[in-house]
Amino acid sequence: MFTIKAHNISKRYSYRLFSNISCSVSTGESVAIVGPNGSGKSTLLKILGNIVSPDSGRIEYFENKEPIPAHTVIHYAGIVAPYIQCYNHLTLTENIIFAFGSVTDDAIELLHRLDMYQHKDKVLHTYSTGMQQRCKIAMALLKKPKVLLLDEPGSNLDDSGRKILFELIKEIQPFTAIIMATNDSREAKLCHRSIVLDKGIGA
Amino acid sequence: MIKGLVRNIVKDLRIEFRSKVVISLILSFSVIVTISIGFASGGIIGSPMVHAILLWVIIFFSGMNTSHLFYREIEEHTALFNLMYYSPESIFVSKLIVNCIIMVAVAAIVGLLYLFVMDVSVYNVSGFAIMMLAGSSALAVCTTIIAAITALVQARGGLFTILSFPITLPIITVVIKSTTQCFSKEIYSSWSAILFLLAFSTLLGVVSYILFPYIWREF
Repeated sequence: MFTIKAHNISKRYSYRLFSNISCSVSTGESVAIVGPNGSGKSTLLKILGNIVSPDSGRIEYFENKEPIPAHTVIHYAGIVAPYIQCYNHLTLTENIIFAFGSVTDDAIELLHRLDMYQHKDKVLHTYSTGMQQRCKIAMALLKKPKVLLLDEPGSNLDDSGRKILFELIKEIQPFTAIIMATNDSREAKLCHRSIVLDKGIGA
Repeated sequence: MIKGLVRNIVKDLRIEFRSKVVISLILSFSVIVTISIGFASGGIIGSPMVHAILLWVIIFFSGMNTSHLFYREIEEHTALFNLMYYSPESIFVSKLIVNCIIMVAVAAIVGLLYLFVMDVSVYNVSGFAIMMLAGSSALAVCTTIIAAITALVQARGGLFTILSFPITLPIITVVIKSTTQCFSKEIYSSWSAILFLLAFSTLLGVVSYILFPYIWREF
């Protein structure tokens, strides 16, 4: 059981993004962060994943009810976001070997499902943006993460890609804490709860 | 830790051999400058100290390009991807090892090219080889941590230059003095200099290893 508890989180850049947001996500739960452009969805996602520090407030992380240090959270996390890329000068197979040591049967099955198996030996910078997004999804899920951070996961994906993504999210939901920042109402509907960011306040 | 180290080293070397960014920058700079000095001077530079200064200036500026190994992780948004799988410590040590490999190779290539083009005699070959190895490794340790510190800053180029000056100055001073002895008929007395380089690199490396996880945290 993995749990993230956020208490009164606030963040501002040159303008205020949001203030006093509290939430809790545990394994088996999923939360969508929704709101207009510039409302701070990605920033809140980064804060919950300890990629960015909040200006004020506190976040606690627990594994099996035992607190764990914030800086180790990234090792429990799978991230699919525009600000994270696989190595573009390596092939998908080389990326998988870099991260996991070998291409397992699970990896082959997932690549087949994502329709990427036939492209696995091509260097990533030859891929389209949609195929690169599929790679990011594969790399995040192969890690079997305890917490999955998704920032606009359906972006650049075609209809079949979105359908596969939705199926995969539904499959891992019982075993993973999922936090998703999205503008897409169909993606948000996959989650149990929503945090709506509007006018700088989380509702 | 060891797995992360090995996989990161293999990954960095593989990416470098495919993209050839650092290798081309280093080779183009070092070859052009060495040959230009050779042609411009007509081989009439007689002073061993001037030869030592020119040689280390070329190695120093060629080696500065290794900072690209860290910058590439930030510019191509792969730093977080790497951190998802491996500890900051293994990332740092792997970059340090790759930087050392590249810097030692640079020193060897530039050193041989310089000796050949400028027709310099080396009176203490073993001392010269050890000095090249120790000096280039010490420079690699410096450039690794400075690149790590500056990678997350927008004005990284300027900051890299400013931070490099005080940190590399003691190394450059020592290696120039010792290399001068190798190029002249003086009795070689640079073992204390080699010890200094080893101690300086070890201290800087250990401190950097401890500090790196705190630097490589916010993206």
